[in-house]
Formats: sequence, C-alpha cells, structure tokens
Amino acid sequence: MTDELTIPLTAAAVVAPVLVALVLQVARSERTAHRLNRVGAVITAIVGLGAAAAMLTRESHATSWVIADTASGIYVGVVTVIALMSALLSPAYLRGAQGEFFAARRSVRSYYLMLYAFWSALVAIPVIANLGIGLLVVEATTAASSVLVAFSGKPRALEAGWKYLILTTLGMSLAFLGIVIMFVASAARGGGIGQLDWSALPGTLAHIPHGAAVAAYALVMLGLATKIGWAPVHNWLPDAHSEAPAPVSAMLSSALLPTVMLLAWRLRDAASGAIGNTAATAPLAAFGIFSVAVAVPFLWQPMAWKRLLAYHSLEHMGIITVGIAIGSPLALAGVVLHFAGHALAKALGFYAAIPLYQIQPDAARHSARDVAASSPTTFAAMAVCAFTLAGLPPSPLFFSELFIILGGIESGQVVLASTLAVLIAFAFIGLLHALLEALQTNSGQDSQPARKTSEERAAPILIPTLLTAAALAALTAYAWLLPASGIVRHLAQGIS
Amino acid sequence: MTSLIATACVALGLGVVVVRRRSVALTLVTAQSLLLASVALWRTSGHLELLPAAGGLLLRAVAIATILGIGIARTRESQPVRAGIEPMARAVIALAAVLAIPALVPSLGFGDQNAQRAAIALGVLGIVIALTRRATILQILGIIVAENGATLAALSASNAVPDVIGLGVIFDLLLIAVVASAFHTRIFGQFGSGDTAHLRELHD
Repeated sequence: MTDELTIPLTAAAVVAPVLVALVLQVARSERTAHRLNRVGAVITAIVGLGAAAAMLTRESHATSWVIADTASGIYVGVVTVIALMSALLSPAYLRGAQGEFFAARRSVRSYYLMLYAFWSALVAIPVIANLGIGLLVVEATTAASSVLVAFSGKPRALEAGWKYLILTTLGMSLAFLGIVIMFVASAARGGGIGQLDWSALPGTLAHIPHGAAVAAYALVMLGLATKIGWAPVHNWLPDAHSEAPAPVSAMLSSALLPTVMLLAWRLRDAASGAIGNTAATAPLAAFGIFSVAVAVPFLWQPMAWKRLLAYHSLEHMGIITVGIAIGSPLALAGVVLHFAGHALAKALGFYAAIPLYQIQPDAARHSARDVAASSPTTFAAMAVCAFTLAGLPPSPLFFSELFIILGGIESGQVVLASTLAVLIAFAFIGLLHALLEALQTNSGQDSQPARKTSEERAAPILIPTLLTAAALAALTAYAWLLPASGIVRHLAQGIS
Repeated sequence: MTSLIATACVALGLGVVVVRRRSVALTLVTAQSLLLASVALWRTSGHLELLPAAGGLLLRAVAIATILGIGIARTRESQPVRAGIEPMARAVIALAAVLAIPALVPSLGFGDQNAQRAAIALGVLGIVIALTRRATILQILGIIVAENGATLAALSASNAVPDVIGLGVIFDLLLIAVVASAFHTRIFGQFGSGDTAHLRELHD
C-alpha cells in the first residue's frame, strides 16, 4: 500500500457508511434491511480497517482536510470495530424492541440511517485536519445520536435524548464562541480556515493576545467537556447511555466519548506553547480526576446494568483523561491500551443487555440477578466485561491503569497519580459487587425450557463474547510491547 | 456593529427570559436573528465574498422561525407552560448575569468592546434561558440565542469568519432545530404538553 492511497482510503472510510445508509433506505422489508445492513457493515468495516492499517503503518501526513497520523489510525480502527459489532447486533435488538420515535413503517430504515450517519461522523472526527470542522462534525453527531437515544419513544428515552440534545448543543455553542474569538483576535494575521488546521493552530494561538487565547481555549474545552461527559457537565451521560438501544449505547460509550476526547487531546497539544503546558493541561487533570471521583459513589449502588456501565464510562473517561494530562510515554501507552480495552469490554457489556433485557425486563430498571442460572452466555458476556472494567489481571485495563499511575509517578506527578490510584481501588470494589449480584440466585434453578429460551435469545452475543475475550487477551499480551513501540513514540512527540 | 444593534440583540434576549408565550419568544428570537442577518447583508456592499454567509444567516432566521412556528402551531398548549422560577426572579438572575459576567471578562482582542460584551451576554442569556425555562420550545430558543452570541462576535470582526465554518454552523443549527422540533412533537404527543417538568423520571 502506498502513501498516496492512505488519504483516499481514509476518505472512503468516511463516505462508505453514508452510502450504506442510503442503500438501506430502498429496502422494502425489515428482513431485506437487516440483510443489507450485514453486507454493508462488513464492507464498510473492511474499508475502515484498511484505512486504519494504512495510517498506522505509514508516515504521518496531512492535507488541508485530512490528517492521517498514528492517533487517527488507532481511533479509526477501534471506532470501526465497535461500529461493525453494533451494526451486526442491531437486528437482534430490533427484533425484540418497538421503536416509536419514527413512524412504524419506516422505523427500522430510520434506525439504520441514523446509525450509519453516526458511524460516518465517528470515523470523520479523528481524521479531520481542522479544529473548526472537527467541532462541526461533533455537533452533527448530536443530531443523529440523540434521535437514536430516543428511538424507543418511551418517556424515559425521550427524557434522555432531550437532555443530551440540549446540554451538548449548548456546550457546542460555547465552543463555537471560542472559535470565533480565535478568528477575531487573529485579524492581523489575515483570515482563512487554515488557521485552525491542527498543524497551524499552535502558531495561531501563539500570535493572538494571551487573554484571548486562554478564553478561546477554555470555551472550546468546556464545549468538548459537555460532549465527552466529563464531570461536572456529565448529567446527560448516564441517562443517554442507559436508555439508548444497546448497540447505540456501545457506540456512545466506546467510540463517541473517546473520539471527541481526541480533539481535546490535540487541542491541549496545540495550545501548550501559547498558553503554557501547565495551564493547558490543568483542565484535563481536573476534569479527569473529578469524573472518576463523581463516578465512584454510583458504582457502589445497586442499579440497572446499562446505567452501571454508564457510570463506568464516566470513570474510564476520567482515567484516560488523567493519562493524557500526565503525558509521559508510559502514561500514553496506558491511554492507548485503556482506550482499546475499555472500548471492547464496554461494548460487550452493552451487547449483553440485548438478551438480558429480553430475559429479565426488570433489569432495565433494577440490578440484574440470577443471570448465571438463567442464561450462562449472557452471564459470560457480563463477566468478561465486568472483570475487564474492574482492572483485574490479566485484564488489559490492569496494565493500562498501572502504566498511567507509574507514568505519573515517574514524571513527578505523584499527587495526581496517587489520587487516581485510590479512586480506582474504590471503583474496583464497586464493580465486583455488581457482578456478585448478577450471580445471586433468587428462585432456585430455572426450568430447562425457560433456560433454553434464554440461551436462544443470548445466541447472537456468543461469538462477539468469544471474539472480545480473545481480543482482550491479545491486548494484554501486546501491553508488554506497547511502551517501547513506535505508536507511543509518535504520540509522545505531540499529536497537533 | 453599532452599540445600538448590540444592545438591541441583548434586549431581545432578555425578553425571551421573561415572556410567557412561546410564540412571543419565537418572535423575539427571530427578530434578533434577522437583525444579525441584516448587519451581515449590509456588510456585503462592496464585499461580495461575504454574500454566502449573509444569505445563510437570513435563511437560518427564516427557516428556524418556520420550523419552530409549525411546531408551536401543531402543539397548542391549553395554557402557557409555567417556568419553575417567577418572571421577576428570572429577570433579576438574567440581568445580574448579563451585567456581571461580560464585565469580568478581559479584553479578547475585539476592536469594539460593546460587541464583545454583547456576544458574551448572549451566550450567558442562552444558558439562563435553557436552564430556567421549562417549555421545550423555549429551551431550543435558548440555544439559538447562545448561537446568536457567536454570530454577533463573528460580525464584529474586521476579518470574516471563513464560509466553511459560518455556513457549517448554520447547517448544524438547522439540523438541530429539525431534530429538536421532532423531539418537541413526540414529547407533546406523549404527555399532552411540551413541559420538560414531565421529563424527570431519570435520576439516581
């Protein structure tokens, strides 16, 4: 594969989901739509993974529209895997769900239209070479994903979707005010969209008044914070993740949040020279630690499985953010490992909710119980997810958290690293508590026919569970090589 | 950007904080958006390259008024949705925020300080409206008022904000208005009212 192919392949990875979405609109029946979805998802994923491989194996380069570097490659790769699994598991969700947000006759097609539009935007965000255009795409994700959150049309889903729409759009309005401040303050340098290219942004910020640079940085970071769901502007996150269709929850948690965080990471690197590394990094450290601290008390409460996973998203986004704030090569190795491991495990956890909520409708509101007895497959998926997220060895998250904490100590940020270590320990105990509850038996053994039905419902997640477990094991093995790898070397040089 | 226009935009935003009826609030925000569009159109004399953005702003004002106007017409409330906070208290909160916050912000490189204060004031008012009003339509209008703050800031610059960004923001806002209007219709259909007080089931 030549370098010249990387950019067209990257563009194709963004366009392919849109084409599949359009093709799906001509499906005359739900069955045809599901079939087209399966074929389209696989083709789109092949293109996306090809683009990711090209970005990871070739020299970083950028045009005025596309940036193809190591970070883009990692994010496009993980986003593609999660989106593929979500698309392939959507028929299993849709068969057991009633979507009332759209008219019944076009509900499934509308679901796929929004899902693939969301997929396209998620692939676009890491490869867009410009902060301003990146923010436009982030705002566009809100339109597609808020409708998906409210897909069921039930009051709780409408509440979650509405809250998500209003809070994140309001946040993005502030981010655009920050962008305008950058343009206004840089009037002397002329104009042009190129000022906001990641490669030009350090120069743009360095040549505008310090106060304007700080204000613009703060506003854009605050806008991104509302979309990432960093505490204290996280109110929409637990609601949206718990009420969305399970395949969409997986994309929100495993793909959207970290992908938007990549913009915050690039912005921090771009602004460090102009406003000082300490000032640029402090918001990340504060948002990160505060997010973990806010999540911990909720992880101790008995609550519905998807809602528990949502609070774990808050916790894990906090951990990744602290890793980015620390910024040492070892911590960045932890960030990469944590991003990939969390994405896979969390997505599997949400997919487990598809059979779980069909077997135990009560589990949508209360903590799941008796799962091991009624559906061993569902329980296996939940267990892989929970053990991984808890950071129990040999989970890759054990190593990623270790890398981030040791990276902090190694670079002299002992207080930050120690605080994170204590909070992670509390979160660990909380998640184990939830898993033990899922093991508890209320009513003795389920009858054989009931168990057989439950296992039939859980059949679609069997292969994803096995593949995810294998991928997590591979990530753990790779953890030993990652700190000394070229990936970490590139990231440590800065990604703006 | 004259001080009069900046002040008028803030006054219209303050009006949205206190009025009871959704249609009146929509009229105020549409007037604010049209005022900004007319400033943009006036700036195009001799600078035809500014025409797409100015036309976009005009289109945005008309389209949002139409989308939300249809939404209001289709969802008649038996009586206006009451906000959790009384109008006088809302006015005091909004006035205090509009006077204090812009004054605390240092110079950000705007040639015209009035424009800077007005832009920040509109951002603040947008947040106040979205947080203190309970009607779905009014919360959407809060977002538009905040976006108008960014538009006002862009219009005060001697250099133009690139069309890609300007038109992109307009497109995104139209998309959000369409989606928000669909939400409003579903919420009204579910509860018989566009009152977000009905949306308080989710909590821990």
